[in-house]
Amino acid sequence: MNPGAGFLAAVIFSSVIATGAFGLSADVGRALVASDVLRLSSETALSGSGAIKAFIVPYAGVVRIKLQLKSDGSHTAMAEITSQIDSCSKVTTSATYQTFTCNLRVVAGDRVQAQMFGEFLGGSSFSTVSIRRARVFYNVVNSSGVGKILQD
Amino acid sequence: MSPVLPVFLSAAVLSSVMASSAVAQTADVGRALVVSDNLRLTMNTARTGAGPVTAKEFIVPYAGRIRVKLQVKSESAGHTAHGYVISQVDLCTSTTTSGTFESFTCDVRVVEGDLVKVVVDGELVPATSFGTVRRVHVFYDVVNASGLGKVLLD
Repeated sequence: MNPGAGFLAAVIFSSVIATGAFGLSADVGRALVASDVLRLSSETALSGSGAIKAFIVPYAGVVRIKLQLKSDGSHTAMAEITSQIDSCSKVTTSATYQTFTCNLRVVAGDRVQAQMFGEFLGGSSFSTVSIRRARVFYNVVNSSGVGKILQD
Repeated sequence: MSPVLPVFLSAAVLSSVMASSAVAQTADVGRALVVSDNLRLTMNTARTGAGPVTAKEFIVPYAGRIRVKLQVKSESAGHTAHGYVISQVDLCTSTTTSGTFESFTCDVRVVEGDLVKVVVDGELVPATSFGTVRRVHVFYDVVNASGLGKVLLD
């Protein structure tokens, strides 16, 4: 057998086997890691006693949320940022927009939402709050394929 | 030893390294579900409840959107019966007062590995009445993931 032809046949044969095997086992999929790369943005300013901004993320991992929040200057404005498995809260009493950041763990296809609340003033009334520039930052990377202990 | 064997082995190792490297870095963006009319899961049993009661549960393999068709009726015609399709990130409500089965279609967003529930409910006020759900059929196609997120509410 010609060694050259043998080499070529071996490469093709081996490649087919390897590709098939790794097609089943090699690619561990994609994950999100928090970064400063802007992927999704909701710029509209919303004001009232409450409002929601919401996003869908494509993979599991950690994303970074930044948003701007303000109150009426005398009451507390709160933003609760949630995924299916994580949450963080930000509060301000400032009458000018304050920028907040939180890193949030998400599942694949997760709904990430920022919900804002005014302060309860009694009866059915709440103070006015405003939210704008809700932005989601992440990088898409190969998944590590390993789990993580959050609490031992 | 055959002179071909060392050549074959070295070629195999080289090719394997190249293939694994290529596949691990570039090939697969993962899978997603999109709404379609291709039937994937069928749960035909009629289940009655009020309160509410979980009537059906199923798991989907990837994130995306699926179509759920279901039939709902009220066990007391004129009273409201609800069929809810509930995923981790979405909710769809089907409501009827009919005493015969009505067909509904819900497109719901799901996360990867989602546990989707179909819940049946009746009325509690002024008196308890029951709803029944049956023929819950789930439709989707599996596609390559876009890899993109989405703004739902601006």
